[in-house]
Amino acid sequence: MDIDLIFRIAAIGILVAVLNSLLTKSGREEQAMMTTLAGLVVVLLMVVREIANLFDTVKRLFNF
Amino acid sequence: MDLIRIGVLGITAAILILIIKSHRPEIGFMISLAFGAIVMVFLAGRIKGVLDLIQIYLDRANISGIYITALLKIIGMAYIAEFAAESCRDAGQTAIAAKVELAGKVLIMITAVPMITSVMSVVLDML
Repeated sequence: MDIDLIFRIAAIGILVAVLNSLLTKSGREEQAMMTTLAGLVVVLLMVVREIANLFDTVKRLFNF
Repeated sequence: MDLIRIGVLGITAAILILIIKSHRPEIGFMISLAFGAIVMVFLAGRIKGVLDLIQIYLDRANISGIYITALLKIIGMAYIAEFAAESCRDAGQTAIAAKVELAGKVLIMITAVPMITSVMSVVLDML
């Protein structure tokens, strides 16, 4: 039960949102887009690793 | 005790999603995916205990192994199909969720074919 994964994703989400609005305010839209994409990729990697762990567990338990 | 942790975690995840959904809806969906995966991994461990118990009694009643493995595979398939379909529905893609569920049903039916044939053969012999 690794609970901190959810809080890490939420922290990254909030950070990306704040950075995005900060950068758009200061006029650098393309960098804002970059940080959004970077944050999304990091979150995606974490979630995909957790889902892969789920599918491996199910495959092992129900001997697919 | 674990139910309390899962309940609290679910509520906090829902609140976090509400916070983030207004700014970045895709990361909000990621949180619900992560929560789903964590709980399903935890439940899979618990289901294993029940399945071992069933396995012991089926061995004692010396029912052949084909049915047990097929039964386990069907449970696993239902498990994954439900997780994938509900996640897609949560993301707003009801059509994709329906397709995933349909695929799950069809593949489960295919896995259950040996059972169906054996039942049919028994019934036909009786007639």
